[in-house]
Amino acid sequence: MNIQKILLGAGKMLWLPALVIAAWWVLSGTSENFYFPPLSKIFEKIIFQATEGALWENILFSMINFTIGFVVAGIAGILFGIVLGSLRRIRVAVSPLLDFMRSMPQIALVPVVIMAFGIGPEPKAFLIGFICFWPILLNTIDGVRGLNPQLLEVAKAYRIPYPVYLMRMVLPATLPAIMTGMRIAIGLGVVMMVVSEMYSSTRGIGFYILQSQESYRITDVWAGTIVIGLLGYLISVGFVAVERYLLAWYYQVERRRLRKRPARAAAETAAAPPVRNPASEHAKARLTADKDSEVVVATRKGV
Amino acid sequence: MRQQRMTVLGSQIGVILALLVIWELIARSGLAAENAFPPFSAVSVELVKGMLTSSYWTAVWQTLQGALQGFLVAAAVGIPVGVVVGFSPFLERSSRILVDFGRSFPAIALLPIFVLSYGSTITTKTIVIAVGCVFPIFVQSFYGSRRVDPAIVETAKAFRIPAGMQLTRIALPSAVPSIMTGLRLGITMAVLLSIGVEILGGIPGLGQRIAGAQQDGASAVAFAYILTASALGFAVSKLSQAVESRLLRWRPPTTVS
Repeated sequence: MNIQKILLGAGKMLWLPALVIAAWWVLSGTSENFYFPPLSKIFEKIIFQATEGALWENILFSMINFTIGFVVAGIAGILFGIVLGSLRRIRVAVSPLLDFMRSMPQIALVPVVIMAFGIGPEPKAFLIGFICFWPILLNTIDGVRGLNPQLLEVAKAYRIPYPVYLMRMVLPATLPAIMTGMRIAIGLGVVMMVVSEMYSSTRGIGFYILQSQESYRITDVWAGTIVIGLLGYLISVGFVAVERYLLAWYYQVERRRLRKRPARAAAETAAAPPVRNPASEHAKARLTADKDSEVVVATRKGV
Repeated sequence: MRQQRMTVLGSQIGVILALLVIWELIARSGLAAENAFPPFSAVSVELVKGMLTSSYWTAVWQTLQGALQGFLVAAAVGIPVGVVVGFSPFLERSSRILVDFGRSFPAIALLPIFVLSYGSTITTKTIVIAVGCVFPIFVQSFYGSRRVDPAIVETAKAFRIPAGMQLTRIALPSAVPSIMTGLRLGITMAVLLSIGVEILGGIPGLGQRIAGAQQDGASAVAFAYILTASALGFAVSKLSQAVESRLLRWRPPTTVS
């Protein structure tokens, strides 16, 4: 019975993607158009590149740059975010600057950074880190600011040392917001990864596309583009899995809270205006918005 | 109160001035190669010189035009499709994988294909931007219409309100706040992609000017255009925030301020 149910569920999710691929395959099957080669040819090219070409090498190069940039941006963003989130004065002083840096099109730096520092992997990792840093920083700041003020009072009352308070209380409580920032950063980082390689490189999946474009090998261009799409998809699926694991406690608590009779939950929220608990409002929005919506960024109103 | 506000403003201006001074000092000290990091004074001279020419403003307009066109196409597609798909559990489930794939796809990777078929034109720019912005707009419209209170949907069903009317009178209005968010994310993305497409595809606009100036070794000019692009991004983001909060005045604030 259960297997039947699972199959039915999978079928409901898979029929449309399958239809799209099938339609593409059939419609392009006899395509003579130079720019839109048959999908079967593109697949052959991907398989050829994966078995005999440099596909894996290129993917590895791109992924290493991406990972380094993302991880460094993550660590820096969380650290600065917690500091700026806790220190109001500094935060207020730098807020116009942060606002500006966040909304600038960071891609504009690509020519300058690559021309000045070369076409190797380091400038690319730097650019990826630079674009990933801002959403992580700003969401961390928001997360820290949304904490219940009682948390600090409890820590003070129990004389919990400040570093312990930051590491064991603030960091876990801010994690949901940090994760939102990271999810946005991933999308931007992948774009930067592609751009930095397509601008100028000697390796990487973006380079493969660029090289194929320059020599008019259109089937290779399509193959590379599809591989990048798959790569982006796998990165985000992987991240969602990590997020579900790290935040399992959080979704559990929130689900329990929301499972109460809605009226009661609403009354509770309404009854607690002096100590507003933005963290849980945020949580509720996230749950109803299905973890993917960009609610936090959406509702930021300055720093 | 007023004095406090002045102190805040003073500290904010102080931070920016300090940063500019540090920029100038580092560039002048020769710590960074001059082709990488021109001093701020040289950049601002180039910026003012550029602003006095009409070709500067042409580049600004070209970037903005591409971003706006792509954005409008994306909105025209993303909003209706998102609202309809979000309102129907069947469509939602069926399209989930495609949507997840599309939103994690870096649209700019499509650039070579369109450069080959349409050349380095505004058409190419518009298409790539539209593909890149359609997903944030679609996803937010979709969440907005999915979040409709089930009680309202039940009521509508009980009164046998036709499906079309349910869409336009229930799903769409309740999705508006979320759609606004999607539009704001979309326009920011559009400016970012516009610059990226110009840099990579050699399509006229600020991005092409940045890349060109840097290739000519005129990094002060390149930085002047980078500052321009940043100001454009900043202005677009501030403006869309203002429009959003103005249009959504009726909605009670739901989140952390």
